[in-house]
Amino acid sequence: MKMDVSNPVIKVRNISLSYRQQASLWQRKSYVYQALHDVSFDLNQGDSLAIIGRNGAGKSSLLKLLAGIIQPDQGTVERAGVSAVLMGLNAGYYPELSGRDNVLVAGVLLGYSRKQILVKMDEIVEFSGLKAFIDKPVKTYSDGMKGRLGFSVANILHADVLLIDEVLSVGDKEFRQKSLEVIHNRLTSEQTVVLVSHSEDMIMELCNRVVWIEDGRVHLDGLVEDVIPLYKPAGRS
Amino acid sequence: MQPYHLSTLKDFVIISVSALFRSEAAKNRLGLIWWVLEPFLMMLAFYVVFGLVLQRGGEGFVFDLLVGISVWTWFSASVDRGMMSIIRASRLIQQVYVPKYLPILVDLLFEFIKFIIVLTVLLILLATINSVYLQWLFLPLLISVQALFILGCGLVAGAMLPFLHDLKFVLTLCLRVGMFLSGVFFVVDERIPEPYRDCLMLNPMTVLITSYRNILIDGSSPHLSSLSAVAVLSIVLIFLGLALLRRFDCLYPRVLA
Repeated sequence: MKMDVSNPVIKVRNISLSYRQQASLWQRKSYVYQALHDVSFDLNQGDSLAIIGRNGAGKSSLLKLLAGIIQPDQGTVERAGVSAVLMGLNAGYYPELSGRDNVLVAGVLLGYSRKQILVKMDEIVEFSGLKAFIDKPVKTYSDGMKGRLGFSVANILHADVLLIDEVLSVGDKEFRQKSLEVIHNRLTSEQTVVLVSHSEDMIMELCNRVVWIEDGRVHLDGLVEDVIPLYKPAGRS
Repeated sequence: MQPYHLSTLKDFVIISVSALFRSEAAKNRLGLIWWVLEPFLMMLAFYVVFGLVLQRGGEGFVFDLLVGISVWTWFSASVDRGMMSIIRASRLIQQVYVPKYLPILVDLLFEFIKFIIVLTVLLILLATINSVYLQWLFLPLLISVQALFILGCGLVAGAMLPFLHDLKFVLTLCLRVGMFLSGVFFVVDERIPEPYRDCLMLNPMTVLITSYRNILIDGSSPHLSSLSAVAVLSIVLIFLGLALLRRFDCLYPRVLA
């Protein structure tokens, strides 16, 4: 239903992105990895879009492009004045700093004032369930704990587009349930979400649309019920 | 890229610097006491070795040494930290858009505060053992010029290192050699024959260290024309650094991925 309201908030047009790597001076041959190749799609207002594909298919690069963190080598990403926020497993920006300090840093960079975050701090800590660990350096956290921290920060944010990279796949069942509820609530209030996940169940539950990336190209772009059944056998082979 | 409000930048810097202090403090039992204790003990050690045991360099040499070491340490620690700032912030810049001068600025500010603590200890020491001069009023000027120079070096080094990791070894070596060439362990005066004295004075850090010694220990005025030259050079470096950071702004997350 939401698909019919085509009001693009982000237009991705023919983007290509490659990583060049030259190991050392003595090796003349430089290694070029084409992460994305001529990728185009529209992200519409209220979309809940899943990006699927194998490891190294360019999914995370795509999210970074949508967030404006990196620029494509070719093509354009047009953001119609919307704010797009990425949350991933790296939510511990500074591994040496405590979770609490990382929340402060994240909050400020995502547009809150220091005072506003301090007011919300208790709520964030409570939601994360990290308890005493919130004051420990993030480098001591497990992946699950980092995911909790990242999601708890994102939970208080009001971004036009929420870009979620694998955060929901880690952590225990209870926290995952809590996070899913939050996203559900957001989705019903017209939040636009782009999700990278390997969990097909989660995609089926949360998303209405899927972009399947294969070897850096858009393999399929369509409704979740059309694409996922095709992805399943392909993923196994 | 995305516009940032000045208040956001201010909050980011305040939070990051205070978080750095806290994480540093949490590492040791005595915490931040070390920041006063360490320079004090180091100065005491130099005083004992050079002033009392070796009786080197004549009277008052130990003060020259203390001033030289404190001023040099601010510079070298800042460049050392600043060149790695963007690399240390790599997780951050993969997640959020940040103007890339910000992590460098935070690290340099952190080192600046450390220097102010060291300087306070030094001034107290000088006031009790040596004497206080009216020329101490030049101190804010010297600190400002050095801060500009450090900012310039830090921005340029920090902008280049993510692309050229090998530069780290070169810069570390330069800092080591620079310590001996900047007149930390000797005073650049008429005892050094020309043309070497003029050559040494081409080094901005020699100019700065000599000026600090002039005003703090001898009570004479600093060489203002040399200082202005350092200031001009610093401003050129700052613009160069900012231009590089702007040019490669969106490449950093990719090379550090």
